Amino acid sequence: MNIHLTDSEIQRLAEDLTGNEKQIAGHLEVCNPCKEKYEFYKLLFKEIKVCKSPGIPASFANTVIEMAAQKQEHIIMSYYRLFYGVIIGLSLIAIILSTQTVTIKKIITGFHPVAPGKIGAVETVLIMGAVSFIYVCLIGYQNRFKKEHLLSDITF
Amino acid sequence: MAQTSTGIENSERELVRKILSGDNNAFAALIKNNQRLVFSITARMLNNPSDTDDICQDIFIKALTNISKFKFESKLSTWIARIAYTTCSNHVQKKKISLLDDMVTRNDEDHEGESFSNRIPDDSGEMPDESLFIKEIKTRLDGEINLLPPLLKTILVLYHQEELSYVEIASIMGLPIGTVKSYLFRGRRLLRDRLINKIKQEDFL
Repeated sequence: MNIHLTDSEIQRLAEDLTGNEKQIAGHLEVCNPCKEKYEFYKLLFKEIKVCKSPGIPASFANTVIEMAAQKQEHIIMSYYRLFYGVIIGLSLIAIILSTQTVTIKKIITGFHPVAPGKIGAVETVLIMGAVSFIYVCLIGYQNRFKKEHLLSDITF
Repeated sequence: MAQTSTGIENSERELVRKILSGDNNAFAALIKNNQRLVFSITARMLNNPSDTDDICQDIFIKALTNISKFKFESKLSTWIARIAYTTCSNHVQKKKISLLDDMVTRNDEDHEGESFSNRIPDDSGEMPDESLFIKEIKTRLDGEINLLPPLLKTILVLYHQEELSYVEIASIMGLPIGTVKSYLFRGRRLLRDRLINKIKQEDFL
């Protein structure tokens, strides 16, 4: 017989994907080159399946989680730094304004007249700045503690 | 008992919900369930063990960062494998390595429709000792797979080792199913031809 099966047909046969195409399967019984090729593919598919897989480090999951935590911490810290910067900046402006020339003081107090013993706009900004700063620090420590607690919970 | 697709989807939804709520044990489970698949893709695509660990770490960090965008339109493993494949493709292309050798395509097209006996005329000759032959194949197979173009060897590994369907592989690689089938057949044919040639060169056949 001169007509051989195509490579695709033999591969499909080797995978048992030919279904009812009995003519194709029947060809193998009478054609030695196609049969050899079929057997080679059978062997190849079997060996690829058991070919060695890449080694995975035992602590891989742990390493990824630590990396993720570090990345998250980095993002949180960036926000905190920005927030601290704004608070400190505002506080500095308030201090400068409050210690500046009488004219500026007059302008500020002119817009917001303050009775003796009461808190003015500048002092209010300073107090709010300080309270916000303490609040942000506390939240930062709380988040850090929470993250460390979560990491220590993980079992592998 | 095998899990139904709804059962799998529910468990994946629960896993994603836990990860989004910051449960690190759930994230660890996600990594453990998918690390073999991710390492398989990365190792075959990059062919460079020193890069593999770092790229795999990046892939899981990307998965964590984007998990809120996962729409449950595919299996979670398919989605993660797609991230792995895209990351590796970008890495390979940055290094100016072709995903599919032009030479492979050209040779393949030349062989299309040609009969087996015309291509390898003396292949029908005497078969060598079977156990020696199998041993030789086993020894050379991994190296020969690694010599295939990244696209072909990844399809080969996903199909035969990871036992993914054509649909899943197509979804991971962003290719039509017909193209995946065609590349798989080409990859296997190329691997077979190269193995035979190598063994022949050493007078094994």
